[in-house]
Amino acid sequence: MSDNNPIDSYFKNSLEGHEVKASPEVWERVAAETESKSKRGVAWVFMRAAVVVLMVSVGTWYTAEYPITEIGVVVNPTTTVVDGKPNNATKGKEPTNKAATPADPSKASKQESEEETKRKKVIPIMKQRQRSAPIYVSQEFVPEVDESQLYSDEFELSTATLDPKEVSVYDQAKPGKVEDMNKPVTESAFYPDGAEVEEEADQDIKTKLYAYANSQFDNIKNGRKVELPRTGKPQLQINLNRIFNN
Amino acid sequence: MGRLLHLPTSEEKLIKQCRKGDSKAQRELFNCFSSQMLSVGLRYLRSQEDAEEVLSNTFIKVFNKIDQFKGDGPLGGWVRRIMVNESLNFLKYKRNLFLEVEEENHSAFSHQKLQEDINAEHLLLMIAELPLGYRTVFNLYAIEGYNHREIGDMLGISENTSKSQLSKARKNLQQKLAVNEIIYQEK
Repeated sequence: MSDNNPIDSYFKNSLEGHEVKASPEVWERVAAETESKSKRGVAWVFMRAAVVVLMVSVGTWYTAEYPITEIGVVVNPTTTVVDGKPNNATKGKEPTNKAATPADPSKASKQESEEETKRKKVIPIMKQRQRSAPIYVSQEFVPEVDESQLYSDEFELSTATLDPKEVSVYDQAKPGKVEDMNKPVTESAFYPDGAEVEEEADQDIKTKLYAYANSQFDNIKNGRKVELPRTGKPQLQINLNRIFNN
Repeated sequence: MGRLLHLPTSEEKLIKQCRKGDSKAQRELFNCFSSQMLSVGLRYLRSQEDAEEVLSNTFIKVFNKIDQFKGDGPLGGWVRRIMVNESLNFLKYKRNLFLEVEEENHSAFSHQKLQEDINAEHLLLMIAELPLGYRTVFNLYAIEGYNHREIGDMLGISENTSKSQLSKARKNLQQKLAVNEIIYQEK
């Protein structure tokens, strides 16, 4: 074809075998791209498999050594579990329920006092999660607790609703009697500088929250189920039993 | 008598090593063909920079696809085909072939007689000066040896377009050669 035409042949023959030297960057680029390809050898497959096996075994050992427990439950392998009254069903798991907190310090304090029998004044330590730092209550604001009274049957909690304005931090500064345990403490009492932490939240919502918490504390103390807060709006009734049992 | 013994040629050994991913073999293959292929690239792309980019793409493809080389032809021919294809892809990417009317690339070279003998570099320059369409078709037909139907398939043009582009390219080159009083035989 091209041999027929003299121009074609002339160019073809003259350029036959003509070479131009490539700059070194070309090989570098090629080598970089084909570097990854050479790892495709059989030996490398074994290497990668070995790495995976190693990682899995390390992970298995690690989780066996440090098991992942439920979040929110205080798990301290070194602490001995003290049996409280059977009715006292709280586990230290309800940090969100403010009204339940008086029970926590008492339980924690029982453990503490087991370890340090000489201590008379009890400092409740409220632990919410395993990882966060414990929140300390200053000694001044803690009422003295007569431990024998704590578990007596006469110990009754009031269901009075709390007006946040009434309770001030300073009221609790006096060494209190057992009855003082009735009053659910405000959030501010658990912070050393309680007054500063007072929020300027909507008072309406605050009162509602306290009222709800109060009402539920009774349920919790007796081991009953916590009722969900009721709203004024109409709610959708879904019969879950029917769904689950079908 | 048929072949009783088939001793592997050095080329076959080289290919086998490359298939295993042996980097020394790859380097050797590259050294063997890269200069020739760069010359091929310069015919299509004119600039060394562009041609080198296509060259590296070509060899990356070569090493990735070495498994698919069946050995039914010489290795050099296979590599060259890849080079030509990559060059065309590059051109397609850079601009739409034949839709642009490209002015001939003038240079002082083509209109003056050379003081020295013409060599391959000069011829390359002559080709480089051609407009894109002429240049591509001339390369594919005259040097690579494809026919018009194949060229039409590769470039997405009709056979007639290919033919006309080729004849224009030849006329152009003829003029340039005539300036330098190159004598060629007319059949």
